[in-house]
Amino acid sequence: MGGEGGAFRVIVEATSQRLVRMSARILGNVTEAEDAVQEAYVKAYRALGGGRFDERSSVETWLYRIAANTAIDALRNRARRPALDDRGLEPAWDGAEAAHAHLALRELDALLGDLPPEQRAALVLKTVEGLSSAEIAVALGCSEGAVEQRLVRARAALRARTSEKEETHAG
Amino acid sequence: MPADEELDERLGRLRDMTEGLRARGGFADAVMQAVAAQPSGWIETAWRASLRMVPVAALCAMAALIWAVQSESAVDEELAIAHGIVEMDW
Repeated sequence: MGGEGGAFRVIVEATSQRLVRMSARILGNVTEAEDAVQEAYVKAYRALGGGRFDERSSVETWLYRIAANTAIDALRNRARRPALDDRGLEPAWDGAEAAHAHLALRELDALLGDLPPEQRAALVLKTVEGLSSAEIAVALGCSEGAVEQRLVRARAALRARTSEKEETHAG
Repeated sequence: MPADEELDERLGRLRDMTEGLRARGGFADAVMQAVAAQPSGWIETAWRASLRMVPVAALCAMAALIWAVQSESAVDEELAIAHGIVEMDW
């Protein structure tokens, strides 16, 4: 790989933390997020080698898009497989912050677990990652209208589930 | 809508709690290993594919050589016979 590999490593080191955090928020699990981000980097490396990076956006935006879509694919694949067991705390985390982050991811996963992957990703990118609808549209490769529609449907589904739970508790 | 506000508030809290998330140590090394295991382009892909054909090509070459040697002997014999006949006729 030589110089190409060295340059790519610089890109990985500069972008991986943000991509793993975003994927973990979409997937609700750091281990799955690392797998998805690694897969995204391999795809990106192949695309760079094949001259398929068109330079219309920055490398980081391009990687963000690949990683978001790889995370969505992982969610789709998860629907076809049995759920992962609890893998415990990640070894890189220690102390209270690690425990809080772990619990937060589990809560996020439980909250958004019933949503279709595209709606779940759109809601996370908007509300948790803080992206605009236009940025989400670029990341997910769809129109802004489609993003808005996914957000409305995701919120409606979550509202319906909340009121369903309240009715169950009341009854 | 209160339900939406509650949802945004909850997601905001989860965002803050996951802000410190990071990849495990050595993640970049693992990525670079995975990348290094990939063929770098079509020339390398073609080269790797062609390496698989080497044993088959060697067997074909050996079979062709044996066939060529046998054919040459047969032709020599036929020529010798034909030459003898011509000599007798003449």
